[in-house]
Amino acid sequence: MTQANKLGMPGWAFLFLTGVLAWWIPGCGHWIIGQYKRATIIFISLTFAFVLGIYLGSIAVIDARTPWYWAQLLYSPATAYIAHLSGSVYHLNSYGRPREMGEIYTAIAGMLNLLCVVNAVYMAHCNNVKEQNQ
Amino acid sequence: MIADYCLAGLMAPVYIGTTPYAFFLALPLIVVIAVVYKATKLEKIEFVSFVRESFLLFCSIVVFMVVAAIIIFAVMKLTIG
Repeated sequence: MTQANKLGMPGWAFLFLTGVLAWWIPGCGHWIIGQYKRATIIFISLTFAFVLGIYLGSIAVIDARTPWYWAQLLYSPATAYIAHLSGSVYHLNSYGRPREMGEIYTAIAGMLNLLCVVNAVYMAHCNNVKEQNQ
Repeated sequence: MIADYCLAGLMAPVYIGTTPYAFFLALPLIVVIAVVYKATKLEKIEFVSFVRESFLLFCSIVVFMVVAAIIIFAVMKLTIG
């Protein structure tokens, strides 16, 4: 029985749920389709990269006024809250190489999470197709 | 309140000097890229094969970056001096 059937959801709704969960919490999309090892590896790796990025450049690297923000936002919607904290609450800023490194780390974590979202939805789709064929 | 506590250590940037050693900061990122890419591509996740594949990809990226750096340096020396 597929995960979709266990949850009592139509196939398309399960794919949507997988994509949204994979975006909200990195690795959660793989977790919900039963790929626990993949989910754990993805969560630890992406969270490490994201936290290292904001450690290097401070949370000021999450800046909604820069194009990097759209890549960083792919990591999780929580990024928008961090941008709110750094820009509107604490009014932080950082410059130079720490900012560059922080932006690169956080943006690549976001773009890698996009890869994981697509992969999780694809794997969920393959599971659905396999179930239908049986 | 909880967010403030969690973010307390992340409010100021660290010092990164403009030295060649700063390039080593790329290594953790390359590790993450290799691990996540292999986590999405491998059919089955088994410890030994996963570590081997990730390590090979990590080495490939590092070697390619070093070769690219050497080529760019050579072109720069030939053209600008």
